[in-house]
Amino acid sequence: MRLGLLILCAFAVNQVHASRARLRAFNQDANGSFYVQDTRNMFLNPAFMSGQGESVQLDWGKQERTGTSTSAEAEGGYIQKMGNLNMGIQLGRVNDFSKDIRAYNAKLSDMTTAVNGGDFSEGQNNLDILFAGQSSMDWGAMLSVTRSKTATAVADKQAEVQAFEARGGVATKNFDGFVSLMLGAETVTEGAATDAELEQKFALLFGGGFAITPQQKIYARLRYATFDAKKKDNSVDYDGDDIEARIGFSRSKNMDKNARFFSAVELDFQKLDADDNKTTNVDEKYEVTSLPITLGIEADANSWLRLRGSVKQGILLGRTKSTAGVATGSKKWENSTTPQLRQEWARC
Amino acid sequence: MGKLNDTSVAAGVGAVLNNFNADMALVQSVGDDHGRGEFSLGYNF
Repeated sequence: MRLGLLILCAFAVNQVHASRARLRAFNQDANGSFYVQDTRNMFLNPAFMSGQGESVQLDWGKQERTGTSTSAEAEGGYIQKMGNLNMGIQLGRVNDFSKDIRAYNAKLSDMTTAVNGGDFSEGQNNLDILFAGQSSMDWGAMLSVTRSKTATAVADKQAEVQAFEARGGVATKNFDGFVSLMLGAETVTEGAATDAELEQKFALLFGGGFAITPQQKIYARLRYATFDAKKKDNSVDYDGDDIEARIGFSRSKNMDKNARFFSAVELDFQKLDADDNKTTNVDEKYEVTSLPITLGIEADANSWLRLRGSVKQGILLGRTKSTAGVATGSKKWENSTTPQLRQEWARC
Repeated sequence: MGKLNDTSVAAGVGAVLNNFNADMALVQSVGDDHGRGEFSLGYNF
């Protein structure tokens, strides 16, 4: 953990103040931040688990999804030392494939209901296993497994989900980097009339950061995925790809000995392109470009109480285009205020 | 769903008692009135 403490010493965290709720209070992705030091950064880069103490953590909150869902989302896990290694187990975390399922359900209009898991079910028992250690640098690895078979609302029908993702990372004093590869991901939901099937054929994510000074950091991430989504009655047959790219700069500062302030600016680009091979259906495209800035502060009220807050907003470059609302097979693009793929800040 | 330039504001509080820690956060996306709450509990050995 020496990396994080050195890079962002001005915004370092006592481990007892580290959780999903803390990251949410800073408008960060619940699966880790590039510039706010938190134990949950190990889900972004497993090398950040190196050197952490033994702990148990439980998190509960509203489901991470756009729309009106009020379902709860709970997860928990623990970190245990094993000699020079750290081992971690996390249950119920919303992983990348779960997020993809939510995005595809919301955006692939020909899959009919197209909202909140209406067609592609999510895994019900996600599991993460992590290992991390220290040699000449911090290193870590994570295997994420989703495998479940659950009954649906339709009698004698079930939803089957399985996904396997491997992630590895390293970290030094000034540099951290990680890579993630989806080893296979599929969700099949049986319906009354036909079945819906989503197969993510390939998904690669990599990223990292470089500390220019102990208080300033640049970071970037890139993700590319391809998928097939279809109904088995041959009425829908999407062939799609999905790109996310982000580059950012962050700066932290001690306001006084009891308060820390950070600011960050990111250039974020997301694009989803899904062609429906059935000519009578609509091809779907979504493209989002944004330049969000984030301002946050954390202050010690006393030795046992901390207050924190943040604000995040896109500026200047905000642009979104989509084919939403196009009633025919045309690929006409329209400016739209509705599409959002996986913008972490807007999804909160 | 929200608009592209929604402003998202969040606030939280964290407390420590012995080896326990508890954190709470409230997040509100102003543009689409989409709010959420989070609660976390941890124990450090």
